[in-house]
Amino acid sequence: MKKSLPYRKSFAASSSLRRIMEAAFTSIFFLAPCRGAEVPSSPFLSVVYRYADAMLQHGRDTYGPQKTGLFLSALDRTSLARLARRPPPPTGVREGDRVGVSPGLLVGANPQHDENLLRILYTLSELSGKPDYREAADGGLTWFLRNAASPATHLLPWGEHMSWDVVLDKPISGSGQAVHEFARPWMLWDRCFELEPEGSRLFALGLWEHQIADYKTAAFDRHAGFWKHSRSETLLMDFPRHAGFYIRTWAVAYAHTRSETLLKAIDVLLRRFENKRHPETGLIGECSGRTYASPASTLSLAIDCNAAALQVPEPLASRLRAFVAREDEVFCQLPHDLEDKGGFVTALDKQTGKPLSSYTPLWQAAYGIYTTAQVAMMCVSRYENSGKIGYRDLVIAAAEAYLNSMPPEEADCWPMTFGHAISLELAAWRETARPVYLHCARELGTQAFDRFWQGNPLPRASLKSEHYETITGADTLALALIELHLNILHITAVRSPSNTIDR
Amino acid sequence: MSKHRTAAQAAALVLLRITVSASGVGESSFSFLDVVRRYADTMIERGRDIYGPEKSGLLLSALDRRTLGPLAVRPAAPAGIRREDRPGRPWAALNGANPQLDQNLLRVFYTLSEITGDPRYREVADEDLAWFLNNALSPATNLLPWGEHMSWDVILDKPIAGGDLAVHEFARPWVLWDRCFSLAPEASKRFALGLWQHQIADHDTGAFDRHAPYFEHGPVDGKDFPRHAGFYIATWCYAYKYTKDETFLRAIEVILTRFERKRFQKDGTSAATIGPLDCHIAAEVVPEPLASRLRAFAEKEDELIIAELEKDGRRSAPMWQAGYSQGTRASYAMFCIARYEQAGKRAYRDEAIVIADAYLNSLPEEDVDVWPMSFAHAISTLLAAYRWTKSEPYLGQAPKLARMAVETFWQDSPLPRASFKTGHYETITGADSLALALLEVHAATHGLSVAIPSNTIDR
Repeated sequence: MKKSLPYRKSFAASSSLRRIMEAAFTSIFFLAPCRGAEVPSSPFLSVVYRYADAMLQHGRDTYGPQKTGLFLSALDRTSLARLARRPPPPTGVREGDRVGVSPGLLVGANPQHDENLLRILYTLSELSGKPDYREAADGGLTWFLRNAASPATHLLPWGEHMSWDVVLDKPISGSGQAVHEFARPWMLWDRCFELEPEGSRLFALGLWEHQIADYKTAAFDRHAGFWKHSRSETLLMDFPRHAGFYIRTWAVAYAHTRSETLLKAIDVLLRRFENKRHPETGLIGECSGRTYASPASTLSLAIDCNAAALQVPEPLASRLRAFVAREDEVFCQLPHDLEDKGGFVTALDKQTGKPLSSYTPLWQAAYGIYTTAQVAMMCVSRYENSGKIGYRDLVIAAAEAYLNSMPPEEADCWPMTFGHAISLELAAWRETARPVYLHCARELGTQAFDRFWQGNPLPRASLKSEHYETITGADTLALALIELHLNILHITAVRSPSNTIDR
Repeated sequence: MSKHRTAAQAAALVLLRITVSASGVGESSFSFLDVVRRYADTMIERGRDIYGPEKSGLLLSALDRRTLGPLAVRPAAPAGIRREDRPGRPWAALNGANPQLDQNLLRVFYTLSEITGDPRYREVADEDLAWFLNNALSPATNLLPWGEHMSWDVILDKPIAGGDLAVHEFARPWVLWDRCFSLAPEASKRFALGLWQHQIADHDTGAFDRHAPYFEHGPVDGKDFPRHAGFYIATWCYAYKYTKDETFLRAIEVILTRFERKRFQKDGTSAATIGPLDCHIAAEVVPEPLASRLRAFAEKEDELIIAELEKDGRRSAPMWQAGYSQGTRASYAMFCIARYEQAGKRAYRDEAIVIADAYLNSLPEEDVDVWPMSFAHAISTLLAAYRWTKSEPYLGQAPKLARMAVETFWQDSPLPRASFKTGHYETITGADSLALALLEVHAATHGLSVAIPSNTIDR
């Protein structure tokens, strides 16, 4: 095929001539091309280190009689200390969900709001080799699991409504009603079982005994009494995503304890949702009594069922997988409109499968509203755990929707939304190797850094807020910046946790 | 969404829908052989070097699966892959051909010709090897631009390194020396001599570093990882087989002596070093008394390794997450299988079966960026367990994992992707090993008489 290279002829020549020719050849022909392209720069990791360092130094509970070491979920960015007044909430945040009894101060520590911050701390210890970050996360989790659970229900004061008041050293609820409700799936159960196995086990059991109202039908409400066993009046609010959070919890707990009770819990709750699926449309109602389906909530359930299937024995594992497979089929075939409307369909009639309302917005997050990037990150989760091309196409289409989009001037955007958009673009970059997605992620990262951090070590809660408050996803944005940094510099020895838990 | 799908994907999708449909349609027509053959055909038609001034015909070690052409950029790296190990210049696009990374693909090509009777797979592999050996040797060291850090840039037509330094380091043992000596005897000999002259720093003590400069002489006494000593010994034994040059016997003897000595630890205990596999191969080729020394060395290695196996059997290794210098449990089974098939020692068989049992009900953990290689090793472990025990669950699980691998790595493309979380083709994560494992499944489920090469070289 190829002709012999010229230098080969020199082997017949004298050895000295050969050496000269070879040296010249080597320097001209062989050495030069080893140079590569310019090393890309990434300013993003230093932002995250600064945030984490500030939280370790100023953001832990040193207040009240007990110095728990928990991370405060809201801070004053000027004083880097607890807030002396209650700031107005970022757009779309309900007062009752914030980390302080309304209208009092925001003095709560809510590990579910800070879950990605904890995951960041573990990652930073791996990246830096410094144990401080990991130890801080471990310390907070251990204290919380050991000390904060309700003595009656073993439920924890975290999630959507509750937190730990670092000044008064007691569980509090933003709304005044002490109800347990997950805010996100809890991805740190393995670590929790390592740190505090008994507290973790008791919580998982408490979730079955006190969150689930009927052990035969698994009827439940996403709200359950924290202080004492109390059955909800209506039992209508059995959202699929919450079922997923419970199933994930029980599956990991089963892996650590081998308690058959936990298998039974999964079995009963799974059956409830198997039965809820419409035989023709495949849709599941948003909750009991509602005729419409919220596909994002069901997709979230599928993600957790997939994870649970890896932890439990047959035949339950296969049933969980079958549930997931059906959900994959249903979700990918829904009439999403990413190309024109830039969004996923948000609600459909369960019986007919017809879309009922609007599509997910690109930028404006709020309570009960998923953004396009948020749903797309669920698709990323399913894609990267299944390889199903339906999800791939949705991920890429969603990434396209953000390519030339920045939030409108008047929008009070959350850091979480930027975090999801960055991670979405990175997922599209990994899949397609099209640089446009990496450039977009980088631009979004730069914008996020400028607009949320503004030179402060802590990011603000929204574009119209000045304080720090993690309910709007500062932790998710920081996680996205780590992911961005690792992608820019092609670092793979340390893996960034998947940014897919805001669901 | 259709605008995001390339013509190549669309065409491939048609075939995959027929063959990989989980719905049952076309189920009976599903064939792992077809998947592998389509991969090979695509590499022949779209994945060879037709770029730059010289059309070498080398197989590219990375491709864009959307265009089925060279990558225009450096794509995101699969988890656990270091920057400097990829087939491209630092920070630049991956335009390298690295036959060591594609070694199992070359073996797949030879096997496909045997299975199908079509000679073109063999011819392409032969052309790949012959061109590389005859044209890519360093004029100064006779080392080849392959392995852990180097490759041949198919656009610039030059040897390149993934890092700042152009260093020769094996990535795997090279098991195609028989073919290489047949195709390019002089170049193969020069490489083997170069390995002695320019990789080994001290010809009395055998001191070496697994890194040696490619462009100029400069070996150092540094990190003399034992596995590399095995790769060298296996190279030199073939060189001796075909040349009868006694230099190669001396090279083997010096390195062997080094590790006979290094086996003894400061605390008085002994530890395995090179391992038995390469020494066993060499013992079959070289004359006495060196052959006996190699056999005795391999025996002692077995003794030490089996004692360690009985302690923990590396059971803490991850099931699915591979990375640089981090093998899965199944990758360790590959070593056990290789040694059992070589020497028939029961302890290795038992350990491989224990590992196969662990994969009977195992699927990748959540969010792991799984490599094709991890599936390959799991599948080959299960098939080995089936060969030995005839226990049906192993034969049941291997095709299930193989099917999952086809669905998750190939998807709607004729080429497999580099990992669960990346979309491009890059053989550093073992697409070639997975293709070999699929052929193994095909052979096991179709009672093929053609011997499938052992999937045991990722070590």
